[in-house]
Amino acid sequence: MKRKLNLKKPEISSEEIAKGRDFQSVLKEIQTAPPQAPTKSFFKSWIGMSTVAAIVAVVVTIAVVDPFSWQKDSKDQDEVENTIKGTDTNGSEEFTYQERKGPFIDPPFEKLDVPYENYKIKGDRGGEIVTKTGSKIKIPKGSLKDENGNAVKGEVEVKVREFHDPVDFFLSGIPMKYDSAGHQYDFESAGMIEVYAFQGGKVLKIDPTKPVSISLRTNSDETKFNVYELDTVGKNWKYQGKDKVKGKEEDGKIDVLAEEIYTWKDTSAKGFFFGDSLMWYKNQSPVITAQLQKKSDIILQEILVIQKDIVKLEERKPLQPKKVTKGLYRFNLEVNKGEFPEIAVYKDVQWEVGPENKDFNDEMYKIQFDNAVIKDGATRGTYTVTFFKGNVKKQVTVYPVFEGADYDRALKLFEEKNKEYLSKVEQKKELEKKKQEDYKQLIENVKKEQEKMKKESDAMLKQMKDENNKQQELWALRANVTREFTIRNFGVWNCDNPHLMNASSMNAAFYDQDGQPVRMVNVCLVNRKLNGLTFCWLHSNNGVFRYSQKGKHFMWTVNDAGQLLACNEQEWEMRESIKMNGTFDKIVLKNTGVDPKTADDIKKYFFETSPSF
Amino acid sequence: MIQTASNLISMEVPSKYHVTNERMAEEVAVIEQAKQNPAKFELLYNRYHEQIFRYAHQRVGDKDTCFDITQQVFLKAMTNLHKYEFRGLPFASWLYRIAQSEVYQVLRDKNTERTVNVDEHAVADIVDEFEDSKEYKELQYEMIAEAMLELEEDDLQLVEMRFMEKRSFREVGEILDITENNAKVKLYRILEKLKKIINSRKINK
Repeated sequence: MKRKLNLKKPEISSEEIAKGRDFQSVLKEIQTAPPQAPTKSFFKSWIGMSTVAAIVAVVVTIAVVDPFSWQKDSKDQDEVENTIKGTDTNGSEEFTYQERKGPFIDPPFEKLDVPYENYKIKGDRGGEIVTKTGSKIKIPKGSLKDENGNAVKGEVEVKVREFHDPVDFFLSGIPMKYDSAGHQYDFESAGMIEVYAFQGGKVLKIDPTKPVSISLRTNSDETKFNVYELDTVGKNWKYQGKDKVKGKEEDGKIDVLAEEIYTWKDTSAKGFFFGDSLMWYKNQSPVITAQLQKKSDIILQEILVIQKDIVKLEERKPLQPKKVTKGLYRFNLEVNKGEFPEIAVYKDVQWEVGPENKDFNDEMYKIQFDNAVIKDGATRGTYTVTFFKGNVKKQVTVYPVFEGADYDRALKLFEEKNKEYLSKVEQKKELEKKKQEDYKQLIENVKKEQEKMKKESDAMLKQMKDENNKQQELWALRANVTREFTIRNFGVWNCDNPHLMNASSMNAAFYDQDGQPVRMVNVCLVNRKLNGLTFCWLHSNNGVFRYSQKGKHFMWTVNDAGQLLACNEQEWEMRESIKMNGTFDKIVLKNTGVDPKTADDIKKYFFETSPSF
Repeated sequence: MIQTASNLISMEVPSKYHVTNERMAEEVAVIEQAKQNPAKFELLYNRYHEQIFRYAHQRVGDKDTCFDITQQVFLKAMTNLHKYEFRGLPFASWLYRIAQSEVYQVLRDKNTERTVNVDEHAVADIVDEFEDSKEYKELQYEMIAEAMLELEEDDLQLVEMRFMEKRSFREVGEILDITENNAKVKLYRILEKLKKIINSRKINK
């Protein structure tokens, strides 16, 4: 981050800061619920998204498991090793950080896993099972044996589940690491399947001479993948040979298309995920409009004040003096200077009875009236005087006039005052004109801003549609592609391409979006371009883990409160270094707000918020 | 020539940001009410608006941006108020942590330079903390201020809070989520680093 030194800090008064206070707008904003992201058919698109595979990351996990019993018990077998000196999250005390090795297979959610599909076949006849994704499991006649090696007769239950993307791998808790001759590899997966056959609650075996054929739906048509069997006793994957790709049209076409999708970028980058950007436009548009509206209201208010000032000035506009008219009655009258400022500036004012007062005569002129009240007349410069004498009341229209030298003095004074007045009015009108222009400009800006936002938002929607079309195309291409191999044991089978770990290590400290340390058991690191993930086991919110510098990463975890938190590629790349007792990479895991009931809930969230994921 | 002030590290001075236990208790009660009815948050908003603004303004040059950051901090605080738990620290320390995150977010989003506001008195206070302060008092304060730009962000934050914002170690600790003692120790180390930077600049000059 670049820095700028400022040696003369501008002073800002508390009053000025207080002007920026607007609690009501904050209150209003939190009372407005955020709009929901649009939903769409997910599964096809999801599968369409996740093609090529490979994994990046971390720490090996250990625990001996028995099929269908690991979920509940395996956590009891946690082991602790790799003592690392570190510091706790508040940095105040040193502590001994113990990198914990978790169980070999450990699903993150207690009640949420990739579900099994259940099928029934005749044990002695065998049969072909077609799963929901279109994968096929062909069990030859006489292939199933019981624990004593005897051929099985009668009804057999077959349990199957498939794993095609990082969310599936994540929920299953199955490790995606491979150890070969002491070398650690990360798996890039083209699909994984788990198959068991049961009778009387017991797992059956496959006659090795009559292996079960698997035709697995896949995300990749590349031929680089091997077949591995998960060895839950040896806690490793066992290489079992190559698979065959069936149904591909053009070598690598699927992967080329997938690559285009993966390299898609949300260039607007207004938020955490792609969906955030759309949401940003949706939310920000009314906010910006409201802000501009507020500014325009302020300008309008200012214009109103100026206009009122002009009216006030006009009220005090100097009155041009008039000479006395021969033959008309005149009298002197003291007036309230505050009430008649236009008269107050003059001395020696006389009041002339206007010619319109036809009934005013000598007799009336001679009356000694007890009282007189003067008020503004019908037009400016005319006044009405009401005379009182006992019960007699007489009202006449009068004019202020000057006689002889008084007139000359008054005229000179008028010219000075009038010049002053005209200048003030001119200034106010200029100011009003400027404010009117500001207002016009602001309205223009509002319009331009709205048009710009609409354009950006439309472009983004178009990009999203294009992306979706590509996904559809990808899905169509993948529809016919399967990976063919045979299995001689029931269990987990994976079509993988192992990548030798060329990892960097990182001291990471995990925080939520409010800067609070995240309490969690493990965190998953996914290379978005590759189809896989690895669990990193943590003792606290600080941890040392290894990762590949290549590729774009995505991270997620389930915290102690069972919430799904995530850090996307953008956040990952922008992570900061923080100093505690040593240098840590600060990774911000934001609450996704997803309360997943099924795997699709999670997939839907990631897909809608990040189509390139 | 640098004017010196009292020894800030060894002598704690009362800070304008100090929050008494009574006030903390009051704020906890207000927060509980605000969790049910957000309008109740207004008291805290009014109480801390200026502090948060000034915090942002120390680090971000543009005044209007700082007003936006301040609003955003309170918006986030109110949105996440249900998560707030009283841990014996003033509520303000939580707000400052949100503000810290928000400031960096804005600087990143706008690709803006991070402003470091330094005045002569603050530099004098810093120099006064150097053991051999006499030697440094002869230096132009601009040179020392420029040396501060080379500090790491966390270190700079601590220096800013202590010398520019005149916070007590306890408050610095509360905001940075470290102990008071740790804040002191860290500051001593940072000042040593700063001295090294200054010395290196002197040589290269």
